[in-house]
Amino acid sequence: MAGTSHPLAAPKTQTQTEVDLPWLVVVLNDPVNLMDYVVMVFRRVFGYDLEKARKHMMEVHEEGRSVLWSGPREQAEAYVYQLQEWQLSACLQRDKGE
Amino acid sequence: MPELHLRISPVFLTTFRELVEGFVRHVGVQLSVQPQGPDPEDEDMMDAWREGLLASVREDCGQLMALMKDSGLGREKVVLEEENALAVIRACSAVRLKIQQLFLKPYGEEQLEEGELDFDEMGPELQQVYACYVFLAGLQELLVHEVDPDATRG
Repeated sequence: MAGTSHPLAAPKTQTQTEVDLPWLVVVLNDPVNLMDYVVMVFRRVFGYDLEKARKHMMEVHEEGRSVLWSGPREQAEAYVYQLQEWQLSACLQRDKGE
Repeated sequence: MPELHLRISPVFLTTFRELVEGFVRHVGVQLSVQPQGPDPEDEDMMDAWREGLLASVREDCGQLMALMKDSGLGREKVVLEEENALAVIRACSAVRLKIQQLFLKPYGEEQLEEGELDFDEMGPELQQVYACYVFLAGLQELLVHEVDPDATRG
């Protein structure tokens, strides 16, 4: 167990934790896109069922934003790009791990 | 395959076609959405991201214009390939966002979301543009119902 108590072990673990934190795909509200359209987009892009897609759509509508997905950066980037192709206001954020 | 049954006066359709054609030119140069790439400081990546989105939206708008120029639209049933219907659906959003950015900014977001704009208080140009905005919403709604009926249920 000596390795884990070494003074240099702690910072290394912290860095590893940061690396492991997922990336978030966030969709922001806009006053133009129709609710049914947004539900359809969430279903097509993420493969969500109707209930989950509606829940996220309502969250965007009522709270101004919703985290649609979290995971590895490359996949998150691909989702953000697709959502922007569908004319939704989407961005990538780093999970702060809170 | 998605089918479109739409009854609309040829006069209105001609007006909307001309308006949409103009907005499509805007959309093909400047995106309707903010291109938020993964790293705003990486200029090469941001350029590629923006150019990719522009290429996609130009293709989508091409499908919308092809539909608007279809001689059957507004008079008889028009049948679309699913991929083309999806492109038209996306293009409707791109053009509506551009209309909002260019003409409807003075209206509040809630007013716009609820469709509470007073048509009679608008000048003739804005009336035409707003009617086109509403027409594209209707067109999109019909097509969404065709490709994903569940999304429009309830």
